[in-house]
Order: sequence, then C-alpha cells, then structure tokens
Amino acid sequence: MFVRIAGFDPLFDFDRTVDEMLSGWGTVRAAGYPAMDVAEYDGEYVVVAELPGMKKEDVKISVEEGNLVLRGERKHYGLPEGTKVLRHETHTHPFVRRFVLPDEVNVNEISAEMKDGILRIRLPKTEQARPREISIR
Amino acid sequence: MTKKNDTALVRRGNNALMRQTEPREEVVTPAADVFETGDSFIVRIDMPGARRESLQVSVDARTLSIRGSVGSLHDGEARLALNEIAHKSYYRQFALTDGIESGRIQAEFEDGVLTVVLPKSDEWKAKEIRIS
Repeated sequence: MFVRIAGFDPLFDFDRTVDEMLSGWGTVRAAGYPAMDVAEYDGEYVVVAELPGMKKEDVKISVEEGNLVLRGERKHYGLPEGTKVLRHETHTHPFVRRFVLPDEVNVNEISAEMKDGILRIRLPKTEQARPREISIR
Repeated sequence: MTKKNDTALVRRGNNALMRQTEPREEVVTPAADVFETGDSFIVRIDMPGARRESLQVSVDARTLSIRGSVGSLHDGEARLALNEIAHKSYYRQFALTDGIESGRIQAEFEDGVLTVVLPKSDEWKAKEIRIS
C-alpha cells in the first residue's frame, strides 16, 4: 500500500489519492496535523478535520490556485495567575494543510461547519460530475 | 498549608481493558493538560468528535476515569480517500490523592475538549498567611 507521509505542511495530491483508492491501493492512512479524513460520495466530497479546542474564528478555509487550504491555530486558553501546570500534552502550534481540488468540485458551493472539535467541509460536485441514471425510452 | 501532591493527578489509562469490550473501535489515550490552582485541580482532555451521550466521567476514592466514543464520522456509502482519523473511543484514568471533594467534581464539554474541575477540600486549599 502506498502511504504518503504528511509532514507539518503537507502538499497533498487530492486527485492522486482518489485515483489510488479507485485503483485498489486501499485507504490511505497517514499522520498529519491536524488529523483529517477525505470521504467521497456520489454528489460531494466531505473533508473532516479534528480541531479540539478551536472555534470557527481560529480556522481559515480558502481556495487558492486550485487548492483547498486549511489554516489555523489553537489559541491558548488563559490560566489564572499562580496556576501550576502539572501536565501539558495538547498542541497549540499553527498549521497549514492543502489539498489539490478535483476539477469536478463546484468551488462556489463549498460550505463548512464546526461542532465539538470536528470541522466538516462539504465540497459538492458539479452537476455534470454527479452520477445519474439515464432512462430508456 | 503547603501541598505535596504535585504529581498526584497523572496516570495513563490502561487501554487493554477497553479493547475487550469494544473490539471494533480503536481505544486511544487522549492528550490532556492538568493544572492546579489554589482551590482546585483542572483537567482538560482533547476528545474531538466524542458523542455527548457517550461521555462518562466517573470517580472513586482513588481514580478519575474518562470515557467517550466517537464512532464513525462518515455515512455508510462514503469512500475514504484519506483516513487519518481513527474510528475510536477515548479512555484515560488519573490517580487521585487525598484532599479532593469528589462530591463536587464538575465536568463540561466544549469544542471537543472535556474540562473536569476537581475542587480541593478545605484543608487542602492554598491559604494566604497574613503577616501581622
């Protein structure tokens, strides 16, 4: 199985990933930050990111030169003076992740929502790209 | 009064226990921050996507246990082109010391972060000694 190693700022080739999936490479499982999934449905792609502790203001989604770009930074919560830190494991560093958009995505219809630390970006396919049934006359 | 329990609240959960009961889900140890203020301990645990009805915070005399399940983030017909997020549940335990008022522990879940506040009992609270 072909596994892409995603670094801090990975350039991820969306099209190729989809092709790999279709050609039997299986599901790509790699470790990026933040952790993300890309799911394809008949009518859309759904990109999911784990963003615990972040609010929608902490994240910026844009389309730049055919890439879907996700940027963000987890703001550190304030601590009252005199607080002792006994353990600190969570990340707060900034991140950028990019995905090459397939041509079939209708860029004007992209939408996103955040809930319980999960960002969900919906990328509908163009009408022409959706599977449809042809009725026989 | 000074306290000697700086390292008290931390112990990694035993993942093997949960694997037997939830075989299809990966059980992960979520990242946590632990703080101590004058009158309480505060634990903040990253549990993105945990379903609210699955969240469990339980306390006995020695242990704080946290559980939560994400389940699947996708519909059945999804074809995953990239899969970095595990189908998982979270499990973690923290050892508790004396001096916690277990009846007044509070928890809330916001933005995928579970915050548990464990108030110290009166005799363990930091006190300021006034110099006369």
